[in-house]
Amino acid sequence: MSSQKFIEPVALDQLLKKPHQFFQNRAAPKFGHEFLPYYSFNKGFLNLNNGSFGALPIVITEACNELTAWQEDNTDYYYRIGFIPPLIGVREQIARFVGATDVDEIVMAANTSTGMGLVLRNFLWQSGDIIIRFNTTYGTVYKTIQYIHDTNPDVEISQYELLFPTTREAILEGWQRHIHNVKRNAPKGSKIVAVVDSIVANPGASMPWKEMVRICKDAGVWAVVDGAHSVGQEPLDLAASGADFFVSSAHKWLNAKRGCAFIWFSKRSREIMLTTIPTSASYVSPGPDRPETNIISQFQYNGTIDYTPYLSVHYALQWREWIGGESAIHKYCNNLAREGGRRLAKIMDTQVMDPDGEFTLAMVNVVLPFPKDFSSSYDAAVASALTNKLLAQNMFAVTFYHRELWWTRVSAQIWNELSDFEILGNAFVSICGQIVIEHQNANIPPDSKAKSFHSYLDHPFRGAVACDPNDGLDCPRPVTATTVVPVGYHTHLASIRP
Amino acid sequence: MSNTQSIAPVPIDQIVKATNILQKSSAPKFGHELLPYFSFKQGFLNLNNGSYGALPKVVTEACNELMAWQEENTDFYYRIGFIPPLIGVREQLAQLVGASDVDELVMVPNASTGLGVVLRNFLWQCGDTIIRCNTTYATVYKTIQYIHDVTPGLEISEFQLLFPTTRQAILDGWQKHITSVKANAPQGQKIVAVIDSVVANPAAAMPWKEMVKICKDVGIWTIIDGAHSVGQEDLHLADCGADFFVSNCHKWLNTKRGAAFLWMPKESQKIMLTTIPTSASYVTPGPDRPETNIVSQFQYNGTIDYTTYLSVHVALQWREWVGGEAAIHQYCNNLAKQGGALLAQTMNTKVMDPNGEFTMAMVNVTLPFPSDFQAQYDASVGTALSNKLLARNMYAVTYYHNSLWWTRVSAQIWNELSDFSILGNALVTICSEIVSEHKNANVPQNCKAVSFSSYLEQPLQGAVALDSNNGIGAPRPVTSTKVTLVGYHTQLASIRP
Repeated sequence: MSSQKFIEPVALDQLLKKPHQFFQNRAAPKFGHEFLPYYSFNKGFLNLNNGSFGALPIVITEACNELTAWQEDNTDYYYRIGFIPPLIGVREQIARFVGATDVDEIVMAANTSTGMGLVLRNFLWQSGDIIIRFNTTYGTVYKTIQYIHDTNPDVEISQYELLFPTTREAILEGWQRHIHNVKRNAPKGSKIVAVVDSIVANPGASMPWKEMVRICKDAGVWAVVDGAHSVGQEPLDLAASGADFFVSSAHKWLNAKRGCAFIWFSKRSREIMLTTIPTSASYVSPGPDRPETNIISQFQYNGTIDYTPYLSVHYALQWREWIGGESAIHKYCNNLAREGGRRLAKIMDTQVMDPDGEFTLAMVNVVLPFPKDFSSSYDAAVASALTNKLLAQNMFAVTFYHRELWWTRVSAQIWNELSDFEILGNAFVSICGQIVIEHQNANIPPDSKAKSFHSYLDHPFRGAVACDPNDGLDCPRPVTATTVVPVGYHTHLASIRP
Repeated sequence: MSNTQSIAPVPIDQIVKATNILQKSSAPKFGHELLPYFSFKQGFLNLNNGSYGALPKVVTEACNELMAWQEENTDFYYRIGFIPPLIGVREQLAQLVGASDVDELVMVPNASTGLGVVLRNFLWQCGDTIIRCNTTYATVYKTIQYIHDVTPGLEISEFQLLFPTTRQAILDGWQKHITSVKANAPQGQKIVAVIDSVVANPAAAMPWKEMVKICKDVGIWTIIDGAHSVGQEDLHLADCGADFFVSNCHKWLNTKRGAAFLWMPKESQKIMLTTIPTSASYVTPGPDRPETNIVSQFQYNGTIDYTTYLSVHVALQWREWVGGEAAIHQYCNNLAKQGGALLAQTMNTKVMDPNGEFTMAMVNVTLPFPSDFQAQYDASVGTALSNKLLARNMYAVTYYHNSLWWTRVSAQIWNELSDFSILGNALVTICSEIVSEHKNANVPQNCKAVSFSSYLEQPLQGAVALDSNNGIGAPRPVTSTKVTLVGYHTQLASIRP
């Protein structure tokens, strides 16, 4: 039985030799299809949707399997000692990467929804307070704000309408007016908290968020930035940004394992952070005995989880360096998004939402080829049909309804090439044609909320839905038996609130 | 490029091939023969299943396959693929724990999260009371503290649980406590009690169903922290009378960390407004909100890896293969009792619960410290115990309770009686090392920050600096990677910073 004097922390690079060897012993291929063998996609799967869930390179998958195995070697060592230095190391790497001034401005969270929820739930909401959200605010955050309003009497929601196409200038002018109005009508002494997307999800649109933050700060409004899509898609300099909070998912564009995100908060913002959720054992009641850094300690451990996704950031950063580095990645993806969007619009004979490219980084939005009258009212069954038909053709891009048009949001990643956009375009032409015909043949009354044809059902809430065996018009019901055929549901979220 | 793919649901048994081996071979006997089926590093003596559980190799491989599946077509997985298997897992758990319907049971990452989401869903008001125990698990204890801190006029009523004791004494005490809380609570305000089915430190199977009844008889809400229950004891939740029950699947049910379930019967769902974070499918309370909305919300509320939840399916196959629930419980419970007795004999100390009325698969035995040494709590002793055990390639939990230091030992299917005597001999050496080191360090009596050798007390969990002078500098939180860490969980037992 071995006997040591000290329990040493283990550096990740000492722990796992394989990734290091991988990166040292070979040169990276060129961006494009040459990268496909480095990922795990099903043979022939055309992945044009990095944006929703990211994709894990094989070498990082293997590293993660080793990290999980390490956890099982001596689990007590792992949870009482082992994970801590590597986790701090990852936080330090992220802090440098995103321009934080100190490692203690960065903590990890399971995903952006969780991080945003944590921040919003830590504010002590009072009568007269106002939360500003957008019609485009992401579903989980939109509903968190809804919940806070529902359970806090007289906490107002002020919603800013963002409709594309538009221009950065128009957004900023509108935002300035909106903030001014909210501020003017707000009760004295109340707080106003604005939730701003750095990059809107649907449509995929890079916002002038730093200017919007400055407008908030000038008016004494808290700025909580949902930066889910930012890290790895654009350079960040958070200390300079002026924001109060910034949350981003590392598993989207930074190649970390799902689910991994970080919360950045300035030292001043830290003061409103009382607790993690769940509350950590190290929580200290507010008061003179509570150390300033208590919330940082709380984030380190607040319930047993697998830290592998957080630790995977270490390898994700090595991968990105190896394949070419941040600038090269951004340049390739941004150019491809622009060219690809144009090609897609040409094939479908429609338009790109943002032809000037002022909102376009690595995601591009293009109108789908539906007849105008077909698109004039939202039909959730169309969304489900689009999702399912794309998957049935072994490909995927997000589709969504915005401003009385159906759109696709396409992600350009380092494994994509221009031809991918052509294939997608041709697929959409036939898919949309199919949907129009099927919809017609189903004879659905225009005012029916429950529309169904073939295996697609409208369902007002997320969850398992029943396949209607008669393809009739029965009201949708929630079903939890295992014999269901679920229908895609994320595409329901864009711009439509049940 | 495009070929027609099926978007039909895929059962887990079609995805996972690792469990095929279970068909082809029969399980070994309980005991050391099972060690090759787990991943413990060579020679590691694991006597602490209770804290984090342990993943059999077969389930580890199955999880790797499930994660690979997630990467093949991630859009299919998150929009369609994970849902039927997840519902299937919920159905299996519902059956296992005696829930009356699959929609009474949802998945959460761990018990702390599950209990937190229940407690945070109550709409707390001035005059409400939350009942906890001194032995309530730290994250839950602090969640209640936080709720108190941010809700003016909300009271915490703490029930003192000190071992050794008897089930009857606990029930008598609980009845008195509940009667007194009820008498003093403002009319019309709610009282919510958090009860452990199995206390963590000390490990003690509680008469929780009787405690629930005492609460229900006077209209008090009951939330059961059942973290240690599933896989260690049979559950029949439909009959138990509690309002909520949360249990970790990764402790005694052999799933991947972290997976737990929250049981909430239909009546209780009325207070469950939201998941945390709030799901996109949240509907504002009112006539438009479907009754089952909370169940839908739990299905998706932010991108996570569902592998931990799906691993329940494989874990249950594993448990069936090794012998089934009854055989597992019998082996572990017997070994805990026998092992505890042997441990006490080896260390010349005492078992906390000699009659076994609180003992299932975990047993508590006092540590061989002089009684004057134990008179006062010293966090660095906890840290030293933890580190010295790890340095000897073994582990059991140690904690301070009722003015004594104890060890809590878990008996699992890979353990045998000899493991307990090895632990006992190690603890005899370790404890005497600590006593000499402590003496030689000349630590002042009233100093909160005590340090000797490489052990530092730290009131916060997290990275601590190694005091290079081995002096008595005030501990400070440090976030540099150049730290030598000390164990910290053992500080939690029974002591609230």
